[in-house]
Amino acid sequence: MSTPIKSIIIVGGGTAGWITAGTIAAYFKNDSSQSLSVTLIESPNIPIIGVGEGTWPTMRRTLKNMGISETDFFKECNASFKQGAKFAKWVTGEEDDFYYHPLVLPQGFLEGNLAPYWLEQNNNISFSAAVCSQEHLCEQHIAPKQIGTPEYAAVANYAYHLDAGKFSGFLTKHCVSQLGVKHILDDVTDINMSPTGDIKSLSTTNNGELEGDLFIDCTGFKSLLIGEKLGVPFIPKKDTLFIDTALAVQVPYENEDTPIASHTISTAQEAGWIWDIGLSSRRGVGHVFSSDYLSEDMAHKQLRDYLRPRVPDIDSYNIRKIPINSGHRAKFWEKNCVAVGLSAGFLEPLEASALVLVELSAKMIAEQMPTTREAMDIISKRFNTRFLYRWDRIIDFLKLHYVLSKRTDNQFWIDNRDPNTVPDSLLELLELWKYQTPWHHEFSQTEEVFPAASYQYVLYGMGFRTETTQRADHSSDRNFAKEKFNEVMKMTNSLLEGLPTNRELIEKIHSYGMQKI
Amino acid sequence: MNNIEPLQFQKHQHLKIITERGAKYGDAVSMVYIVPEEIPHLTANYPIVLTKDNKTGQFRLAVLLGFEDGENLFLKDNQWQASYIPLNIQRGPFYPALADINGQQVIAVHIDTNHSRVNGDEGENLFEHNGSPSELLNYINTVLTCLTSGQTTGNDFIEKLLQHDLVDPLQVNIEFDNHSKVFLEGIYTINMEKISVLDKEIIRQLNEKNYDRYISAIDSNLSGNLSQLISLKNKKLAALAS
Repeated sequence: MSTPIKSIIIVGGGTAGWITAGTIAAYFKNDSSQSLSVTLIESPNIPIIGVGEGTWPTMRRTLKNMGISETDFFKECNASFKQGAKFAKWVTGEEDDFYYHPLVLPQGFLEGNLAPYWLEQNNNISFSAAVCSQEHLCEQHIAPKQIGTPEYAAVANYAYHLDAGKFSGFLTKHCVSQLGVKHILDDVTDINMSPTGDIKSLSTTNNGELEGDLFIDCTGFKSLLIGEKLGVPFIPKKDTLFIDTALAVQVPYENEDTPIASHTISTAQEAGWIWDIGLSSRRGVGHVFSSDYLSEDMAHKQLRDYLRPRVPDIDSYNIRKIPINSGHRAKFWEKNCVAVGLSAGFLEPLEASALVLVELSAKMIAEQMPTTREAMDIISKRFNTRFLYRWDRIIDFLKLHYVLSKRTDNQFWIDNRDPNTVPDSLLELLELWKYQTPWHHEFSQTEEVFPAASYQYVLYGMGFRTETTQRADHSSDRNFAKEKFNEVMKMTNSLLEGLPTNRELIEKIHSYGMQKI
Repeated sequence: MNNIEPLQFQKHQHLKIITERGAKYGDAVSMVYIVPEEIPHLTANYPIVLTKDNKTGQFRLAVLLGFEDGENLFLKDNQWQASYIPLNIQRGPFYPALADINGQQVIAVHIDTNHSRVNGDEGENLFEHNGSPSELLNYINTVLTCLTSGQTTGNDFIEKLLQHDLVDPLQVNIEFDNHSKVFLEGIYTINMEKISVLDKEIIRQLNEKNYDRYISAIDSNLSGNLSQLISLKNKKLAALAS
């Protein structure tokens, strides 16, 4: 006898809950072979965290798959375009210290590797400016497409900045009205177990007992199901990533013509860094820091000092404090319960990894949805292996930004470079990259979170040197590199000429909308 | 630079308008927007397509006149080689636009006084001596009225096409006799296969507004008129080569 999986219960209605609900419901919407019901229960009494405001380009596919109009999304979530991140003051802390981690790959990246040729040129153009156009677009607040470009299509690869509070509400409306997700506003009072150790049902205040075949824990930091009930341990990562507190604030633009940055700006501070995200309606700014190295008062002061030039009355703003507990569960899928979002874990938002992990989790759950309870244990094992790998790669990649810094203004930076705080996997890669540039071989898993290109952007953006004796003397390769560098220059000029500013395009989207084709 | 102002007798009585065709008068364009009411007149010569307005990204109806920027294959010196000239060409330096007349917002004739057709010596008068509109201006009035009301029809027509997912990109690779190639970009047309399987009620709604006639006129003449346009281009290339 096998037990079919028919009913999915999602607990928690933040962005994680609704992205998961929408992804699964859309995936099974037109599938007559496996009929699934998706129910999302959220407490009317627990506020959502709502600071996840930066996405990856994957969000375009995620929204499109749910059948969402990109125009509606822009209008209702105060969204804007994000073409990567600018890291300021991460290396020396000087005013002119910055580099970009753009979203496009280096020119010709699938055919050949430009890094060795950039290294041997060693002139004054930054790595990202030499190998792609995006830094040039970002520096001039240029949008990644035109008003005539169809929804979700790009001229230059892009992701979003969005208002997380509005985003949840927007997804709720869409999932309920278009995708048949059942929405229950109620408190979970108890979690009832079956003798096998599975979750059998949830007791609720007003809706009786909710039975389900698969329970998805989107309860945020509380981790109600997988943590509190099933007791899956949490693995802290504070030894590697020291950040433990965030201070967040929302501020207006100076006026209605102020350029909207088309990238996230991350500016290093004495013992942490400040994110700066431009929405269509306002900026979202926050200081993440380590309380072991900096007092909260000083962190407040540094955040206000950062904002004061553009927000003179910053002292009158209310700043929210959010504790950060870096780390993740030892497993994400245990028995018939899978954790998605903050319940699975959290890391500082340096590379906007929170929402992309939600999307990847939801996608894998939908695509590999076990047909029976018997099949579930095999799928869950596969899920855990894949996501533990992904969390480890993200931790390596975040730590890379700290390891390559040369700042000495606080013990925070010095301790960050102590090899005892660096994962062995990263130490090994750094050793390798002294002699050869990052390439596809190091990142061979399917759906690798960060491609070799991302490592190149950070390494060479931060002044890392690789001894380039590797095959750099092949004249055909050198011609390839020369050709690509020229292509970048040409393409940059034509993009700068043909693309509107970020603000212009967003305003046009609000007035006219984008076409579906 | 354009200088567009509401047309007024006091201000513009001495202006004359050159009405002959010519590249120097702005007729050398490879595409021009049209309104649906013109479609019956256009089918004899022009490929009718949909394209996106650069400024708004919104779809508009248009006819193709050439294959590269500034190429109008219907224009030969000062002759337009087709019996019907699209209204947006006929319009010349005139625009329909809102103006404040005695406190009311009305659509009024505007003129671009910097347009190459506008001058003080040559061409046709805009006004009679007594201030009444000349024959030319009366005609322009009719053209602008057609364009204004046609714009509304056109927007509604396109909205219906998009609503029922009937618009598809038209991807045409053309190789001319001299082996030069062109790939038509940014051109869209109506997907007739989807039309054929539309719900009866939707078909009824389209027929009610005569949209079925527009759709079939656009579709049935597209490939023939595109071939004609290609042969005009081939003739031009041959003339250049000889």
